[in-house]
Amino acid sequence: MSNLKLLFYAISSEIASLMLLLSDDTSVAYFIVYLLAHALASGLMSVVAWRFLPARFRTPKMLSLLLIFGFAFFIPAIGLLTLLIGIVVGVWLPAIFRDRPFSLVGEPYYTPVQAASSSSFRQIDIQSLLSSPDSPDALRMQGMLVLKDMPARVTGKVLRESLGDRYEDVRLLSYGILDLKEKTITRDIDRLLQLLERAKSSRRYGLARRLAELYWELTYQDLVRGDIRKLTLEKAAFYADMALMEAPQDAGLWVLRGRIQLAQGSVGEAQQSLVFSRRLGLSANQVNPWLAEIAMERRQFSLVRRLMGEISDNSQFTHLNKSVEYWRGHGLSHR
Amino acid sequence: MGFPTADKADICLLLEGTFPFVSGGVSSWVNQMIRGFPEYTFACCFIGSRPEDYGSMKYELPPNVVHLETHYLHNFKRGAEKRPMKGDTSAYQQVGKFHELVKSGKNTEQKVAMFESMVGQLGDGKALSEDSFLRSRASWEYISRCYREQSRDPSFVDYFWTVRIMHSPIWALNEIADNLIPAKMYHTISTGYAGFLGALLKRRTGRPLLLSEHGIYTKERKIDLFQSEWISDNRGLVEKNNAEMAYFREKWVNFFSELGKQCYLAADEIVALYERNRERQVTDGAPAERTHNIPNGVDLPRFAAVREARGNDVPKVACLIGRVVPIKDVKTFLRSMRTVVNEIPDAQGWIAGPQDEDPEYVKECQGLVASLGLDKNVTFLGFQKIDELLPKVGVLVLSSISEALPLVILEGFAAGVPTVSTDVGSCRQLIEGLGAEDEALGKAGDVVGIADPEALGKAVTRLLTDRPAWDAAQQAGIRRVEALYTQELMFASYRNLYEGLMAKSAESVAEVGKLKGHS
Repeated sequence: MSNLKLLFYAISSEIASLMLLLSDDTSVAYFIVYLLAHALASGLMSVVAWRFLPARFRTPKMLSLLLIFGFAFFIPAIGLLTLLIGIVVGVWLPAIFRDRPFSLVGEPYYTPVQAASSSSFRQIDIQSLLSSPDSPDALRMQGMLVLKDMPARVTGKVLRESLGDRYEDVRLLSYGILDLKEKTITRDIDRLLQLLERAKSSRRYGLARRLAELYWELTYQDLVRGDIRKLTLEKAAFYADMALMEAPQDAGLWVLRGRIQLAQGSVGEAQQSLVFSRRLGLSANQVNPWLAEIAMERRQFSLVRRLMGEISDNSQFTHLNKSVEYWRGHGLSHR
Repeated sequence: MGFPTADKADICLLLEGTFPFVSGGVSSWVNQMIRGFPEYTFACCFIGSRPEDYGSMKYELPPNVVHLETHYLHNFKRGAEKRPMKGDTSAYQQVGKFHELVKSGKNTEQKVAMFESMVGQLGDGKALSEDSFLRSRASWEYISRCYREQSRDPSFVDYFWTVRIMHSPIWALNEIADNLIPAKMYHTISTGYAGFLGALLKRRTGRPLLLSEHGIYTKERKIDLFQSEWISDNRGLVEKNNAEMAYFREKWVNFFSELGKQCYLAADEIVALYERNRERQVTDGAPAERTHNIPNGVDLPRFAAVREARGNDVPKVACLIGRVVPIKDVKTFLRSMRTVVNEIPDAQGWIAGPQDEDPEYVKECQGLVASLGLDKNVTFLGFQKIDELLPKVGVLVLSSISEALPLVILEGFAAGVPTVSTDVGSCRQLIEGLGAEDEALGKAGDVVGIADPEALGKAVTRLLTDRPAWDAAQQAGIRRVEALYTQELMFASYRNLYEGLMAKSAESVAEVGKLKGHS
């Protein structure tokens, strides 16, 4: 209970006890009730006063409390009043005269210190920087730091080439970057697999969908290769199928399924999945780039032209715009 | 049972995170060295992070270890006296000048002299005592001035605590140096904190210091620090230049580089296991004329007996012998086993090594085994006696991302087991040979790039399925280890160094005695 509340109860009890004492009734019962009320007030007051004592006076606890209680109990009214004044003086007086170990300081300021110009990184092509035998190793290490913050999809090739670098620090750093990116995804996969094991059927769809995405991410970001890539794609396909069993109307998942099949080399099945996603309502912007890729693979150029032509100008794939422009132009020149 | 204690020893070994509390290649080497020199008494000074990070002793102490003491640098219970003090401003000005010299990258006489003078002022009650560093106004003013002038990170609080925490081991090491028993010479097995302790001891006692570096400590720390996630970077998005290392990361890297440099400068002799590491030491500040290469060596008669225990068949077993820690890249080995098992369905992959160092990584590896569908093909054996294990192994695999000159490859060769290894450290030299004469001995296995499970798996499969190739590799391994990597060759090189340094030590004692006589 807060000190203020205790103080309030103590003062109320003491006033009540004084009123009992000053009343006309002089019976023993009245006197006993007075004593009890006064004892309660003294007890509460003792607790408050004890809490305000400097640490060195608070031990031994029981004896220290008993001393204050005795003072309050055996000097009715005045004892309590004196304790009250003592508390006020004890709290306020030192606060006024305390020599604070603080002083006023100016507002903090910070002026960023620039790195030495000799160590600044030149904005040149990182791949040529890393592969050049003439580049100083320190500069190449800086180049690696840039790669660290870039998406693995973009940097995967450079990082993998750097695994065979002549300078061991570069090799280790590229390994570390790839490993960290892979580990982040793998940890999520492990966590979701555990959740899936004990998940209710209502949650299975969401978990399976996320697992398919994560396994796909490992291949998309070029973090797995060879036999492991094959295995990862199988897992991605497995969980995509599991999710599609629960929600066959998930058009986005059909696109993912199509892309996984495309990566696995099952072009026909990939086409079916992608076409199905369009039937479910996905726009040409979202699906046609992959369908065009399949058509391109099959050398069906007129189909590529048609599919690319269906992609509107406000496509989210900004890097695709040049291709779209090309195919449109190509189409016109042949008309 | 308590540790052995003595009041003096011939050689004091400075051991950071290794023998006798951690098993592994370096610890085995230390054990081998102590037993190889029974004519000398050894004192072992073990330096670790926290007591709870280490279990019981992993090695039985050889009888010539007369003294063992343990120290933990991240045991923050020591603490200096808590009282504010004025401090010696001029001492901190000297520290500032020293840091300027460090930043200039030059190893001048002035820097060495300054270091010696600063080392002398580290003790209690002196100008650069721990108490003064932690609580003096002079120290505070020096730290805040450095922050204003140099810090590229906006957080002063982080700067202040980074500086304090980074430097605190220096006083712990100084205290160790104060109380260490006298020895005729000091032998540190790494740079880092143990190496810095060696530098302190050398500067104080004048006794010779020998450094034998297996991996390159500074390089490994640097990579750890590049990847670490605990170092904060408080720069805002617009302040950031992603080609620039976070300030505190750079500060830690520089700190360890300087610790290493001080060890190199103080060491009388510097040993690397192979040429590329020796060159690296010179690049990192080691005086070239003091550097040598002494490769590891194995006890041939012991392993000849292991070879005798092998049957005629090649067991379809690929075995990685090493601690289950990230630097060994056990995951790549496990992934390579997927490729091996695709070709040889009954092939076995064993991981033989302690699993207590990084339980999180062990868990990840075990999870990977399950997700690769290799439960029936991969076994984690834990620590194994190598003499009993090697006769059951077909190919030794080393998938590490960093190594020096792995003793385990040599032991495998001596026991008649070829190796497939990643191209790290001197593994290519061990497997393919270095120079025409060595190369003529043949290839004792195969070398592949790091983190390439498919190439590793294919190389293992090739050796396990091509008997003539396996036989040729086995013979090449045996020939190479017998010609170039024997224990006798290693001991002879070290005997030269020990004898030379002991003589130097005796000279310095005689010199001091003469000076005292004159005074």
